[in-house]
Amino acid sequence: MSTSENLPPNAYRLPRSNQLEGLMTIIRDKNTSRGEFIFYSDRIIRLLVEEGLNHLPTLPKQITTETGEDYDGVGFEGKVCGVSILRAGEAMESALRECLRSVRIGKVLVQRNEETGEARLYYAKLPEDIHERFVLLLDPMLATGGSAIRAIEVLLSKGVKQDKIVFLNVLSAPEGLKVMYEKYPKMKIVTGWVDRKLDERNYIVPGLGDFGDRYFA
Amino acid sequence: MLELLNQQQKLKNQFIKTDGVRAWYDMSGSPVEPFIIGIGGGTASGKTFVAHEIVKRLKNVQSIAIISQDSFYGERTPEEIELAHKNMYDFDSPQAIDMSLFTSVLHDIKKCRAVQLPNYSFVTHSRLPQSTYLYGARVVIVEGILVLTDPALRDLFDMKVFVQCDSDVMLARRIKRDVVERGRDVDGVLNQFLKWVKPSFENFVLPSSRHADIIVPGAANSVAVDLIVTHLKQQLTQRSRFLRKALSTASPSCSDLPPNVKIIEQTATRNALLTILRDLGTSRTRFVETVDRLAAHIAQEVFTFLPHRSRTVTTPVSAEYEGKKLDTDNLCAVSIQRSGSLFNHGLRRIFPAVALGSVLIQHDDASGEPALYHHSLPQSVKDPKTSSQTWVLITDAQIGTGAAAFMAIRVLLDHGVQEKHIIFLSFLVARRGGVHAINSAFPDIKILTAAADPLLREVEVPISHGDSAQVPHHQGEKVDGRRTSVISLEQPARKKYWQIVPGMGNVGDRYYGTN
Repeated sequence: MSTSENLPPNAYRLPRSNQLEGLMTIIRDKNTSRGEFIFYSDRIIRLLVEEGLNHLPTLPKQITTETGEDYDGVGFEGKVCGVSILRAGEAMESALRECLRSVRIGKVLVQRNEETGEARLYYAKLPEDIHERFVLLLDPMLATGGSAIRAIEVLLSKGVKQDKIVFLNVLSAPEGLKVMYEKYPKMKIVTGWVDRKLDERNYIVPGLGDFGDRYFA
Repeated sequence: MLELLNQQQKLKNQFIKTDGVRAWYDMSGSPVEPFIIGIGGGTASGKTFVAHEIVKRLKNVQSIAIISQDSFYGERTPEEIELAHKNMYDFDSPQAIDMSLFTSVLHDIKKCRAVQLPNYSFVTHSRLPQSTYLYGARVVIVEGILVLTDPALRDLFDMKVFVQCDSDVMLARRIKRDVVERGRDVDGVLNQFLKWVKPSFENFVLPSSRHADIIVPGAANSVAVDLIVTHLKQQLTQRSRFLRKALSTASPSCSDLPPNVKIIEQTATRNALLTILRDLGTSRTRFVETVDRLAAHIAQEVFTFLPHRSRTVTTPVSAEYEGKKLDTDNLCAVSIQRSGSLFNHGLRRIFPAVALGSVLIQHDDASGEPALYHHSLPQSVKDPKTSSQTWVLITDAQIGTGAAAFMAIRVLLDHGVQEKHIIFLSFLVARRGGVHAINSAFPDIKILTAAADPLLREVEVPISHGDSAQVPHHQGEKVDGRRTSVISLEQPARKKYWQIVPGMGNVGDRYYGTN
């Protein structure tokens, strides 16, 4: 509970409700089957996407209700797209679509070279007008941040503004959050839970294992 | 234990991947062997150094593996382990090596199959439970003092190299390595050297040099390494295969579908779904919903081809009912990125927890040839104990020239999946396209599709900025028979791709909104 004070200023954590803690417990459990892992992590991701959307700016919007009365509401300011970091990021696409029906989704594949530790970009396919959009960057795990940095570099090179990126992840390590803040202080991060630390193999502990392996194969 | 394993892998076995792997098979679907180099020579003679010098000069080779003989030390009896701890076990004799496992693993590598390399611990003197997965290397360097001594092993090498070194130098390096890196004491090392290492060198290692194609000095050997690399590059050129053109022209002039293609039953609903997908005016929201629904329809039809056994249940009114049950524990799907992922949602509606793997195949910039950039396969495919029993659904939105489909199929067969256990799912195929080449190469693979269109034509369009020019070496789109990149060193303004007609356009772009 103490880490909340230590979050970097650009990072936001989902409120630690009983519901969230229960869901996290299920997906952390190594005995949870793939079917259950998919169902419960989809629920967490849905909460995460909803929270991520709260960080997009809104504009005042006046509408007329069925009763003929005017109502002063708000509307989203700009165009949005998703970018998933393959492979695990794909697991977050359907929740995004549930919230934003016809959202455009780009994909980036970054692979870490085990020898050198260098993260290399293998593939990027993004919406053409991405520089005009807010980007919800999707990757369930933030460990060292190596892959995310590579993916963010691609976005910035395409003209996306740092302060128009919201990085969504289910679970993050304090080390990764720190690196992200140092490199991209204007980018926002919304995370489901902040774990204790990275171990010597750079795995998040206590963590939940490899999200992509458990969700896909 | 795990740390130790990692440490050893770092020092010994290595897999270096610099680029996508191009076709390693011919039009008949048969694999083309990788180039295997055996490097023998005395202990600490500089074998690893030579291996790394070769790797350094092979910048353009997409994937290289270095395999150490040390991985193949055999399982020991408790008595032998005890001797080993007292430096009294002869590790330098050919008997210390599990030559039959070594030979069979290399044999599989020569056949382009995925393999599991064993890992040996010098601390516990036993084989570690975790093995190391290796797949897709086009150059394989095998090094170790005894690799040229065994005739069966020698037969598997395309080139045999012996590293010659002064014995004083070898002893000096050996003492340093064993004391510093392996924590032995100097007396023990010297003892071992005189008792085992030297006799082994004289009896086995040195005589094996007569089998070598080339003898390389242990130091200042850049001329020799250059010679090796020159030969290697020639061999690799001979072994490269260019299939794209052949695939697109292999189709017959008649528009009969080959027998492997099964079109799912045409119903009014399915026709309506297909019409929505074909309609240029369909909104993305509608398009996404329709893709997901049609994918579920196609996935449903998979049951026709899967094995079932009978199962009797008791109903709530206490009557017996004889029904059926799916008769396989290992069913998974592998999507060809990006547009194969369009099936994922629909597939999981029908098979809720199915393992979903993926392969990323893209066009090479200039040649238009497909290359395998990445693969992430379900455990039941990667595990040699289960792969032959695993049913795999490969998904891609369309089959045009079939180049990507062909490659994805080869990846699965290389892992031991049986042809008859592979079902390819797609929304649309070209009647005169790659389905014919797939049928003649892999007749037992079924292709399940919602529709088949008459034409496959090559068109040219302006390139959009949404395509990533950030990715070096391959700025083209993926090969699913629709898009290729233009041959140009400049940022190309236009690109050519294959189009299915009437078709449904680039479904990946329409689904993800990247057009």
